Amino acid sequence: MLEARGIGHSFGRLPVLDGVDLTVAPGEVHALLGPNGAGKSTLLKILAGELAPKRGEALLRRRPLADWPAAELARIRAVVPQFTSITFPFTAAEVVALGRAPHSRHDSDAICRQALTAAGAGHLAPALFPTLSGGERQRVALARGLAQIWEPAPDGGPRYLLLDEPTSSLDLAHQHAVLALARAWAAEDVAIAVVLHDLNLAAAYADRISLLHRGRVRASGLPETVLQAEIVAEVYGIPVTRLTHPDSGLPVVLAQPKMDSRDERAAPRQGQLP
Amino acid sequence: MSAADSEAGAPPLAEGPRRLPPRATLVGLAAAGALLAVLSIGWGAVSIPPGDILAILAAKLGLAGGGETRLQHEAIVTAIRLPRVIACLAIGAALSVAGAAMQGLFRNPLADPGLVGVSNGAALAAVVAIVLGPPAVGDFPAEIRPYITPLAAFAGGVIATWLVYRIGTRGGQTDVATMLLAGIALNAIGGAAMGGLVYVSDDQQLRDLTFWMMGSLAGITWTPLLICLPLMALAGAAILLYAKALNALLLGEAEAFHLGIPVERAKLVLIAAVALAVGAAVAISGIIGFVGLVVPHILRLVIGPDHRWLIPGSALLGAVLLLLADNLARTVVVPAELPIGVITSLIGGPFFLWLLLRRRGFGG
Repeated sequence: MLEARGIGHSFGRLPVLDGVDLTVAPGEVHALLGPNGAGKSTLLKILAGELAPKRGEALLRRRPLADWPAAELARIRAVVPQFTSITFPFTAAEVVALGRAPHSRHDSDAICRQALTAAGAGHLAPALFPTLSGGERQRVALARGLAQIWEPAPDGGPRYLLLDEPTSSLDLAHQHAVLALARAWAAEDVAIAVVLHDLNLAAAYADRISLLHRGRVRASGLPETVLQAEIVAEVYGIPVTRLTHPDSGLPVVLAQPKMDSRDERAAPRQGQLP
Repeated sequence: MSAADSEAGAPPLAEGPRRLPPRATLVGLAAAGALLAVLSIGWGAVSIPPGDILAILAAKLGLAGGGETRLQHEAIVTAIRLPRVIACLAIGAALSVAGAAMQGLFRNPLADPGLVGVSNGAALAAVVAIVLGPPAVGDFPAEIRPYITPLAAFAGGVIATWLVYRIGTRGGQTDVATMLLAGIALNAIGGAAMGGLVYVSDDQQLRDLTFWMMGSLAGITWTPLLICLPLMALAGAAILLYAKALNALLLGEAEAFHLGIPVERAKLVLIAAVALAVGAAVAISGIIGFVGLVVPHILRLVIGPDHRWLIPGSALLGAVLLLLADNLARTVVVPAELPIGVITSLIGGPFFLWLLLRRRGFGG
């Protein structure tokens, strides 16, 4: 269990998080949503043990993250950042192999190959990472995270996967493929925390959603309870309509287009050529 | 999850870089280094056949009685040529390993101990110790005098490395432009300070100063070499120990932490090791530029960027290339000799420009 208890944090005088309580449980995909600047990435950094919160504490298996030796943590918890940049000519396969660093066995070629294939990037294995497109890099980075916790934890306990906007550079098919993969991993008793921007992706794939607003958890729970039109409209400051997907019955949230600006675009202003 | 892929039909396997197998490459380099070392001892005003050299070396190591070789040759080999060849190998290796480590630490292939001012800082500190030390604190006792230069060079190297790192890195990200500009500033300050010292130094010191600024292996003797060799070996071993950490650090400091690397300790050890390697090298030879830039770069193209191979490979290739450069320095303008720093800069400068142009072609 990965827990945040009364987390508060600030950068200088700027408060970023305030009294955040949150639990990421094994077997669950927990989506963190919220507008830009809501504190999602900071919260993920704190859950990763990379940043020590100024107030409250983050615990993994009831042990404060600060007390975990980095090497021990790395064997059961992987973090995939939104962007991965390497200026050196590593191949995609070599980047994935870096994910095996926490483990003493280095003959993990098979694991890396499988991880790349799972992330839909098997064919990229021999390619130089710096030459890949943003979406390809994102999939290779995901494969690195998967390779890091590919095998069951040494003590048989749950594993943790933290993903920071893993779909930001992906096309529609790959967005769904990545989140379906997250679901499949959750089914293997992996706890998954994922920062997302797309409410409907979260609605379709998350077991639990926490909606952050100005450093606080505005709502947390099942997708259908969190993604209510009033709450979303209040948090994002834009009118929305909530529908139900005709086939899956999942909630779908649509923002209302700003009709004024659209009209403006459609009708040329006076004195301008159409 | 390969669903997305299979719908479009399995995409063809991407094309990979052409590389040589690292193990074989390292063995080849080691063999080339050994051969070149023996040949280099033989080359010079007095030509000595390789057989004689091996006999003398064997005798020195107590492997065989070397009664056959002429005494004159033995003196040339053991007092002049052997220390020079060993110094070349060690300095080439130390500068290249330091360059590779620094590039990994800065996550940038353009970091070089010479370019970013570390060599200059080491040289300046050594020169300050030589020129200003005696008037300030009196002559050093004879027993510790040989250690002053390496120690001062190390201290100067540490300070310069730390400065560049602090100036060029923010939030775990190194800004290349800032780093290189900081290097320009440090080099300017170091150069000006050494220029200023010219006015307060006597004749002998002046000769030393020129030596520091140009980089030279002429007149190398055993004493400084034997002091500096263990320091370079220690630095090299420390860097090799952190090869895996360097690989992870290439992803970024946060990512290295996620992979279980003790990031702060790794950075501290690597900075100290770089400073020690460069300081020790500078203490023997003065500033020899561009070796740390060129060698790891060539090797990355040949065997790839994995530091577990790159570090030992850089040591070997650096040793071989600097020995080649020194042979050039000794023979191009016979009977005089060029400072080796001139040779490496003549080769390294254009190489650096080519690197910059190539990067510009790739859009950064």
